[in-house]
Amino acid sequence: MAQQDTQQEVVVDKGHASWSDLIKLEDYWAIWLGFAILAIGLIIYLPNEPKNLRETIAESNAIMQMEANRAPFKTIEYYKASDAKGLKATSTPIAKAIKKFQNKPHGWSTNPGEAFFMGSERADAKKAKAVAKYEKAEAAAQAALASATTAQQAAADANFSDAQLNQQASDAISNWRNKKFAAGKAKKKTKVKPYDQLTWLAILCVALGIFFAIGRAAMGHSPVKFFIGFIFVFIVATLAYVAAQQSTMKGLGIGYAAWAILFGLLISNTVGTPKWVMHAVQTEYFIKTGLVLLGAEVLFSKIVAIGIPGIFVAWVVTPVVLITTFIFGQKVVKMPSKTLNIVISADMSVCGVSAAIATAAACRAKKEELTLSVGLSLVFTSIMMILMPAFIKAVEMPYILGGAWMGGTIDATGAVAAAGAFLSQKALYVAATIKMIQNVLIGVTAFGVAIYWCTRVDCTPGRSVNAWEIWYRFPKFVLGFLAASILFSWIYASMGPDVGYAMIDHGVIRGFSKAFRGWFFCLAFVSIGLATNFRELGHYFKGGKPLILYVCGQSFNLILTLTMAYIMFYLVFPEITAKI
Amino acid sequence: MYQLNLKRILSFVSGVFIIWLFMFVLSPMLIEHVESAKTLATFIQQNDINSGAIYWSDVEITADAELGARSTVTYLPKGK
Repeated sequence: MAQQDTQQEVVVDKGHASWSDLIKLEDYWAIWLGFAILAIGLIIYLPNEPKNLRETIAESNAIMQMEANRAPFKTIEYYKASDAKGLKATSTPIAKAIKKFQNKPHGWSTNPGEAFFMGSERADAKKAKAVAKYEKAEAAAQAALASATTAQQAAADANFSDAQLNQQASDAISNWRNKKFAAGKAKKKTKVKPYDQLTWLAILCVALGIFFAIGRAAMGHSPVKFFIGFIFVFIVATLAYVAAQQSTMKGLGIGYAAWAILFGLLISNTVGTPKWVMHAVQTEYFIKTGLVLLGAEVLFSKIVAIGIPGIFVAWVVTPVVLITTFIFGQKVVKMPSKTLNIVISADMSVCGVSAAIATAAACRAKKEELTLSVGLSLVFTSIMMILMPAFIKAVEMPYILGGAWMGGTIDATGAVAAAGAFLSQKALYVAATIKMIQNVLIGVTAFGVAIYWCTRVDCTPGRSVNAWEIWYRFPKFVLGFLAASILFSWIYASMGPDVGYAMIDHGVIRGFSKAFRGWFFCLAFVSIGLATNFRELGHYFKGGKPLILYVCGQSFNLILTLTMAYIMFYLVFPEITAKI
Repeated sequence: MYQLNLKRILSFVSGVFIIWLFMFVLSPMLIEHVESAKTLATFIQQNDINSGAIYWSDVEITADAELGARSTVTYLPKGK
């Protein structure tokens, strides 16, 4: 059994169970705190439906059904109806107020001060620049719409029975959608307003400090000492977000996780982490609470609705690559640490940092192992995000196939979306859909790894493990993670995908829990950095085995995903591919 | 003691300098000289895509993707 004295090293549970565990153990507190946030989110958002939500959805769906029966491609009216039903609970006034409170530091280019403040003069100047760009983009979109309308009319005049005219109309409509996408993004930039984020960040720091201090107090630690140290951890986390928001770093896909670890490492390995800060360096506490919130974002019911070919690609290839890479790491590379092996396998095959966090917590990996896995994933994500679209364009691979390939192989979701959108809107649809389906596998992976570790890895060889022992060893926060996933999937399914999209996805999740989850993970990564000795990290990298494992696993992933994507999108479901 | 502290502070300052160098000198240089990196970075900046996001809900455009994919599955255009 894992012991309490290793609390700072790994995720552990005590070897006995009692009712008092419910208020004394970190795992349970992660569940209580996570569910408190989810409950507040549900209470805020569920009674605040956007006006005419259900009527608009019904009307739009009727038009889409009619258009689907009318033409063999998605018509302009079909797309307009689809856009119209994209209502969001995050557009309500209460959601906007919450956003101010939760916001991360803003984007900036050369002046880091703009991450926190922007005066009205500067905002007006930026707005004027953005309006000029938007007007240009909008004009291009309108011109593309006019061409698309003409092409569609020509196809309609031929009763949609001329394949060439249909194709021309479909291409013109795709071009309009790409231009409209660009115009939409340009329009968003015209909404720039003056801000003072520093005040809101200070309020958020106090609120989160108190929030976590309650749990620490119940666990028998000093809440005051925790709170004081938390201020330091929060400041470093804020700086990580500031660095991630810099425009060049965004362009390279270097997100907050990398900066949080780096800043933490820099402090701990140079000036040293002050002792008073160590009270708040609670990696597992932050990770587990964040993971319970992440559970609410693992919506099984959403996945079923968004794509059969993608499900095959993600759910067949991903487990095969995960298990094969793990076995390869044990038998061929001979990785000395099973936990490092499985964390690298999961982050490479499932979905990067988020999968690494969940798997590391489920198998009680060491902080250094998580850091190493995340580091590998971030480096390869940046490289693949740049090289894969360039390669796809160079070899003239169909964009839908390319999108599916990138969606299944690039680790981070943000990088997948960027690379997919860079190719085309249809490539984005496929890439992001496959990545979303893979994202859902986090829950299954974490649960499977937790069970496997309890029953096979953490036990005496040759000795059977009874149900009670599995329960003692099982990381309890995983139950919170699964419960959140099941609960939110059920709510989402009972609402239906359209209302669920507006109220759960663009309400409770994107309008509330997601921001907290991001902060909690950021705090966890800062804590990892603040508690990690760089030399120890080097020890885990000995012989370059983690790198060899990652490269071999990713190569296998690239081949298998491309093969499966081709089979599913071009041989098994060509009719869906043609009409994406 | 004083020397030790000075050494630590110097290490910290060096680290900060390396980060600054990476952020404001090396990365822009890389983007400027590698064509594919430049094109993609410009696209990401123009469209304000959170390319460092770790989960689907962190990326706004996944919502567009979901709507599009769900529409295809539910209302697959078939024509007459």
